[in-house]
Amino acid sequence: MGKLITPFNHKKEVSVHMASVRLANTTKGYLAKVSAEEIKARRVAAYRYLLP
Amino acid sequence: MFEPETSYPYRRVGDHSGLTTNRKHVEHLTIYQFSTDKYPYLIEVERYPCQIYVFKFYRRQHKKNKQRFNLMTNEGKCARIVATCFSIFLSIYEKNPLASFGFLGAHTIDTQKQIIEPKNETRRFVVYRQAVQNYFGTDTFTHFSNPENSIYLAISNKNKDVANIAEIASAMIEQLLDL
Repeated sequence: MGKLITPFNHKKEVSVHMASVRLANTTKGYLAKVSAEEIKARRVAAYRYLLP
Repeated sequence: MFEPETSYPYRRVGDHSGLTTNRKHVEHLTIYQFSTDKYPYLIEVERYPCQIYVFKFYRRQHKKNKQRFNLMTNEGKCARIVATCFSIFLSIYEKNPLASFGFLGAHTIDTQKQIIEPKNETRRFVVYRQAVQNYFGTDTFTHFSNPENSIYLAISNKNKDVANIAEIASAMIEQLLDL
């Protein structure tokens, strides 16, 4: 007799779901790095740096 | 425009430990006062873990108002007020080079004009971000932002693990937004 194969792994389903919940929570306050290029593009070069 | 030389003379009027402020994650709160030609203002400087200093200001008259950060004074002194915040931060940074600078650009609530601004990329956020990026370079700070909630954080590169501080700050922000 062969081993019974279930169509999907319940445990895995749950863990995937929990991971997506965690991801959704952590993106709420997520701070993304602002690239130096983006800052350079937006910066008004005429102003002198207080701190370089 | 936002140079510290244009800042208003300020004085410290309050010093509170995190416990007495009853504010989540806040380790220390210092309150400064300055006056424009018309009104006295208060600047609250909250120190969070990892030497993160968050600046908040409002008119002293609105001290008890829950929406004190959302009100417009229409005084037209934004640049000098922000310069005052920069001046205070520079004095902190001089003593503590691990200090990082953060702010939240509160959304405007104007009951008379019946305006409630959305919380993402607020006008305050856009102006303060421009000011920070003009005056604080990438050699000294690594810049992070969350435009969705109008939050900005410039982390001092003197810290050993900047990315880790950004993660810790993200977790704190997440909790504070849930309050």
